[in-house]
Amino acid sequence: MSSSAYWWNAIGLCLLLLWVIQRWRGGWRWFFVSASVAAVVSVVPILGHSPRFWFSSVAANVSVPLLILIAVSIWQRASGVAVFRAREWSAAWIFGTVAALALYPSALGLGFRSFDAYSLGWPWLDWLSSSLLFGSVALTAGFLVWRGNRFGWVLVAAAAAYLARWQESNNFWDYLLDPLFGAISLLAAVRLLLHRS
Amino acid sequence: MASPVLRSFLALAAGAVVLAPWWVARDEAAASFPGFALPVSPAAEAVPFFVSEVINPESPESKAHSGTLVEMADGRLVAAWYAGSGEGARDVAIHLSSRGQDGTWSEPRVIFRREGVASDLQRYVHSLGNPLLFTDESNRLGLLFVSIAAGKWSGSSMNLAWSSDAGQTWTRPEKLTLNPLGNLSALPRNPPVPLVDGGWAVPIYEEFLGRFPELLWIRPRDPGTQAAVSRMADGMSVFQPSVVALSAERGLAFYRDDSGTGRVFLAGSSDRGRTWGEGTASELPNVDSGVCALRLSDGRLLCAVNDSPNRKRENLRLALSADDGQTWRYIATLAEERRENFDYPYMILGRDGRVRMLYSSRGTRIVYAEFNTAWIDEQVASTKEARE
Repeated sequence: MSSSAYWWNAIGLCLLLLWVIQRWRGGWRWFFVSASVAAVVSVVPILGHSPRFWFSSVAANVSVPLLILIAVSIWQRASGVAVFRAREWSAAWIFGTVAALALYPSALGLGFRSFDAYSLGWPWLDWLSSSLLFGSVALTAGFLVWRGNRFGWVLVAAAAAYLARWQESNNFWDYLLDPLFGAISLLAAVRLLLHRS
Repeated sequence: MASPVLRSFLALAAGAVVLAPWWVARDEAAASFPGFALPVSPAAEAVPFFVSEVINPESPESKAHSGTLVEMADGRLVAAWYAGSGEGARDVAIHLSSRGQDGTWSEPRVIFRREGVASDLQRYVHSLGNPLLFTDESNRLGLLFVSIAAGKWSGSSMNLAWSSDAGQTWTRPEKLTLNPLGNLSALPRNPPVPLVDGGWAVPIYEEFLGRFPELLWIRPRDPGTQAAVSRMADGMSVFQPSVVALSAERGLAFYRDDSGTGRVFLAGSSDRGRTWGEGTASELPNVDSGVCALRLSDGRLLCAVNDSPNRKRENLRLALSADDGQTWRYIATLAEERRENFDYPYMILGRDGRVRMLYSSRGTRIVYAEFNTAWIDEQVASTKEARE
């Protein structure tokens, strides 16, 4: 595992722990207590290995949007300042839902005529075909930024992280989406739909 | 809200950053699907030759399986397999043996154990399996193998390690991310097909919810390795592909089938492996066991299959095709015994034109067989005589 992937997963685990602990109470004081507890818990060995070791065993690649959404959620709860408004959260859930529906069925072999959406995330494999993925994300990011929706910058951050190969994966999809983000997005999108109807 | 001009500028900048990695990859992408490399055809030997031997006769493990074989530039053979108390058991390790100029196989030794792999990968590893060896032009040895995180084969992911001294020492394995769902369920099995640019197309398969064949495209890069996967077929039944190159453009894939048809499925590609046609049932039998195919230096195809009447793996037979897989004829039975298993054949073509083969025998032994085209012709003649 590269050092950047190692730290990426370590940060992911810390933020996830912090987010869970911080659910109990908002404000800066509780943030610092939660951060301290999360930092300690994330280094206490379990069965001879660090929690990060176990976290990496179940979470192959934590996506950039998930990490940023968790960080924003933590910040908002601590500061009380809404970095992401309702429309940013909605954009995140809609993006996660569309991406998950586009990716996972074909990854499971349930695609159309051997089409595998995941292969579009390797631009050097089939450059023209992969323009479908990169072009769609570029248009989405551009549109969101033009509309003043900050989630557009999250997609830009995912592309920048991919360019720097921060994760173990060299597939663009893994920087955009992971199963946890996909599952949360699907649930949130269903909730959005129910609220509207 | 920012001015429309500023918003438009920011939107264009955001789109440009997202497109940057795609644009950067355009030069490398120009060499995608470069075409299959065909082996140089040596002069055929006149005298029939066949030899068969067990390369792990003293192995104490109750399971030794999934052998892989490679010929180094100096003619040395290197073989690897997994062995332990059973498939997916915690004590399974990757074993290696090599055959030098004196023609004897070295004492098998363990090259990867799960504890070491877990430490290198910084992840929990329950077991190991399915090694696959290959060499590059600089005589470097590559090894693909799976580490199982949980459960059985569906919980496996693929790792790649390199050796510059014919398998004596190895680099730390690198995990290849080949699947978006927890990177689970990718396995190698059959020999890689060399490509004209020095890379490889490695037949692999997934068996998570569905079972389907794929090609893993590997390109050596300095530093590291570039790996990407393309799908050969969807569905739930055909997997464990074996791929032979018929020309630089054309390939033929042989699939194991577990849907109950009892047939090996064949599919062709005419665009250097980029896309593959619909698999069709061949006349070759399949008892839901691994098959391996090979193109001989004279262009005929050889395929090793199980063909027991009771749909078990009680024999291992060789079939030959002179018309690119349209029709087949059995030429030899390599092993046969009631209530025993002879399976997972693995064949490569040596630089001298001889076929070099490994298969699992009785679940505990790895058998090496070597024969030439003169021996194949002799088998063809004898089966003709038997018919007449």
